[in-house]
Amino acid sequence: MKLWYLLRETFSNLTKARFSSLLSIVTMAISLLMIGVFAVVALNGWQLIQHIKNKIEMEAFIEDTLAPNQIYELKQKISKMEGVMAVAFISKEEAREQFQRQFGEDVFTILGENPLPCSFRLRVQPLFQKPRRVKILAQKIQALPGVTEVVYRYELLILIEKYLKIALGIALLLGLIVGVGAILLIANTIQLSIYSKRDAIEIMKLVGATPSFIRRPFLLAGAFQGLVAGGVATGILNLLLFVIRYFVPEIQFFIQQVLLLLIVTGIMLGIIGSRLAIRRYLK
Amino acid sequence: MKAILKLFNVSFQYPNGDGLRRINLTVNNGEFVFLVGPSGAGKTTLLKLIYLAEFPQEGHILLNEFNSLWIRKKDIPFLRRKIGVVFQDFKLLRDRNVFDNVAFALEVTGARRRRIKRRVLEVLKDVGLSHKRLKMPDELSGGEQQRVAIARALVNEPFILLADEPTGNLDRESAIGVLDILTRINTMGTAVLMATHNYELAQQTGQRIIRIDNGTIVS
Repeated sequence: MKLWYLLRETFSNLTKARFSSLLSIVTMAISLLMIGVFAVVALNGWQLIQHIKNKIEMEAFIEDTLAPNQIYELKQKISKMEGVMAVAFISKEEAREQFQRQFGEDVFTILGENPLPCSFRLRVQPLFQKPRRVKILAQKIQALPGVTEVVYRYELLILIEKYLKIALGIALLLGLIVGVGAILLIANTIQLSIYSKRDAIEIMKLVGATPSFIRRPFLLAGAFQGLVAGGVATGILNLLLFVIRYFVPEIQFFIQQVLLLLIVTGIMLGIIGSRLAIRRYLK
Repeated sequence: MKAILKLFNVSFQYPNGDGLRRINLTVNNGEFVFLVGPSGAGKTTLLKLIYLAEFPQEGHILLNEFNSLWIRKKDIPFLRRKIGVVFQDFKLLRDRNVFDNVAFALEVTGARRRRIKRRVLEVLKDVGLSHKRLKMPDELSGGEQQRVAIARALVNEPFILLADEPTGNLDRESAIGVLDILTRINTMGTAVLMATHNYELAQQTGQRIIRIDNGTIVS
């Protein structure tokens, strides 16, 4: 297909049925805005969970009797373990200071001695922050000579994992419903604009145009409508978030990916919607 | 003479019972054949079967190298490029001028712009409309619109031209003008199969006449 023909027909498809084209863009923009709001909530919820998970630390207590070179070797061993992101050594003295910061009293004054052991405080790589993997890692560290006990918030991890799965399931289901609904709605609206070209489509078939030749200008027009709708939805979403931030300045949104997603989804919806809409005319 | 179109015991029935029964028909290369019959006799259905807008429910159709039994769906557009079709209601695109209406049939084949321009001007000359190439369809008379439709049907150099009541909407003078053009095209080598209810018009030309009534060929 010649490019000039494709562009001319696409432009003609967009301008011949201006009202229907506008209606398609508005329908798509509303659908995309819904998807966008949904994606912002999902993405920010995900980020929040990751933030909480990153705060979960594992603490490996070690024997007080270990010499500095043994502590160093142990630290090296733990650092090299798969899933370990960072390891920090907490000496007895530091543990005492932390206790004082947490409880406002010196443990030495209360007990006459410092019973707090030395420890390694370690952070786990995001991919390893699943209850089962954290448990295995803890068991491996526990098995190292010199380590007396490993503690971490296993229950919290299980809780997060459980609710994350439920939330993810709901999100996927809602996303699917909104997505399918949007495609059907868009296909119906685009059908209005294709309807006005049905005579041209019939003549094209008669003179021997292949289905893909007939389809392409409509798909390109659909992609263009999707692009415009994506731009409109992005603009409105940005405005909405701006208003929310104006009233609640401490909220931080992660939206860059969402904006790109809306543009790409818009183009895809336009193409899929047009393809569905033109299907009946190509039978 | 080589047959370019053959129908073998072709039957087709619409859900309401109308249709065609056991049609056998041969059109040879360069022949002009009239298909004459009253409205509802099955003329349009027969033409639709030839350009494969419908498929025979029984029997089969041979069109040059194409066979209705084996043709793949994706090959139908290529068959249609070799069959010119003209309708009673012209089926022109109202938003394009004469030149673009004719060029349209070549654009779908992916032809180059230069070839499109040359070929469209050639066929417009053949139908005597070179001077009206920039007119819109609504600015033309019925006879002229039908000539544009004929030019569009010819632009791809078909081996057969199917004309479904091409003079049905025209006054006598315009009808004769259209028939003259079809005859001239035929003398240049393109076979013509023209459906009409006007027996007299067909008889005047002295060409072969096939009479169809109630879905069967009667003579």
